[in-house]
Amino acid sequence: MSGDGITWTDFGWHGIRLRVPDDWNLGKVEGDFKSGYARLDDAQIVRVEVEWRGGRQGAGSRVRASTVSATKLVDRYVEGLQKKADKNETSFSARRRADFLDDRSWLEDYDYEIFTWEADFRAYNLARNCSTCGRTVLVRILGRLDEEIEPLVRQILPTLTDHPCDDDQTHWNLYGLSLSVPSGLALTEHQLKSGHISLTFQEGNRVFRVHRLSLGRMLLQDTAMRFWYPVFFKKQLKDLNFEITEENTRGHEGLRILGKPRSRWLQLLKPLPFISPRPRQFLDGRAWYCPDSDKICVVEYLYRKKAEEDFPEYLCDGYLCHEETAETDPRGDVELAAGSK
Amino acid sequence: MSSRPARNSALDWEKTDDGEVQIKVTRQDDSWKVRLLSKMFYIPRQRKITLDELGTEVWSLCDGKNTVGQMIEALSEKYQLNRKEAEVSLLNYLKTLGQKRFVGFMLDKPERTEVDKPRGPGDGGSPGHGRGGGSGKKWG
Repeated sequence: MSGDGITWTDFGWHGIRLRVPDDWNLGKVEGDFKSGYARLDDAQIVRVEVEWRGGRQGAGSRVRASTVSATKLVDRYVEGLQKKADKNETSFSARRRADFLDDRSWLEDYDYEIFTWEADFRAYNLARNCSTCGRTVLVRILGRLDEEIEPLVRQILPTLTDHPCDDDQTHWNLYGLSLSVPSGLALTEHQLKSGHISLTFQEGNRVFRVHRLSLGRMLLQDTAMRFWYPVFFKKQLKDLNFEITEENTRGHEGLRILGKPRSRWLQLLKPLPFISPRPRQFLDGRAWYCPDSDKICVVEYLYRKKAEEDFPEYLCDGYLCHEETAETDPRGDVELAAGSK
Repeated sequence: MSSRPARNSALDWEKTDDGEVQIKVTRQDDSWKVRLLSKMFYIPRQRKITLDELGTEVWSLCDGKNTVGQMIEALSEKYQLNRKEAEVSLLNYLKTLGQKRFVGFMLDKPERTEVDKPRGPGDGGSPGHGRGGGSGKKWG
């Protein structure tokens, strides 16, 4: 596999960002900002595994770096793999301080170690401690033994970022969804269903929810969006008196949804056992259909007090409903054309 | 991924005026229980199942020539789906069709030229096992 002619896409989750070939998709994800794991697969095998630990959400300034050096971390990791290989009686070899990267200038500010190991697969690894955000990240890119993926590894690894850059935005990229939110917003829930991705962020009492639905044309073929929306999101709108008006968003035909909590009566029953009414929340949302990507995009803002009623336009601005993929070097600044703007 | 889904040739199906596929399923089980129940309740001899646009597309691809991998490619391209999205949806759908015996899966005969074939991805067993398990070992 060579680096030429590959279509690239971004993977972004909890501040970890990597540019990978576009047929490498998220196969498994777990954990949160503090520690977690993500795995990207192609059609046949696992391609990338990322693990992260430490760091503080929304940390713009420098935070205390990890107390464990990259070398110690790799010692432990390789030792564990060796034990496992011995137990399973399989061949295993590791090469510490490997030299498959020609240019390491992008690693100058980090405490890091590059190494490879070989078993059923060949893995190219980078363990890195970031002094800015205090995060420790271990990335491995896997290839078959008969496959030459070093050129690809040289392109992918330098694209790794572990904290928001100058714009203080966290980028969330998965399955073609591309979203930028202020780094202070913490992901509290996510739903990754086939055809329906939903991410919920929270900051204090304010909740921000983003949905992306595939097969938009098919969903809207027998009905107008203003009739489809209340049926599809019936459960969320249950406790609200809502009003839907048509409003263009990001250059596409769409809706504005305003909702007010229904009544206070249910809240009065809160002290009683077995009754847990939902918190009274106002809703301000936008929904639009992007014909270029055939996706329905929804941004919902839920707030408790009238004082917080300004709709966060930045959420719609940071939501790319369709993007043009580019065949360029992933280390270059690839422009993600919003298209609809 | 390399299997080739093929429609059950014993099934009767047709395309409606809307271009949707309608599968006619005839009652097979004529055991005494069914016969007795059919005296008491109306049990139709045949029922029709109409597939939606996507189902119709998948049905037309189940011709015994396309592999599952090719079907994923075709669907993700036509409906602008991410490959993984198309894969998960299609595999679930094919599983349902398979359970209802509407489709079968044809497998190419594996070529075996060597006595000992190397273990392929996904067999697991060593630190870097393949699809599904990841490397298995995490740091710390």
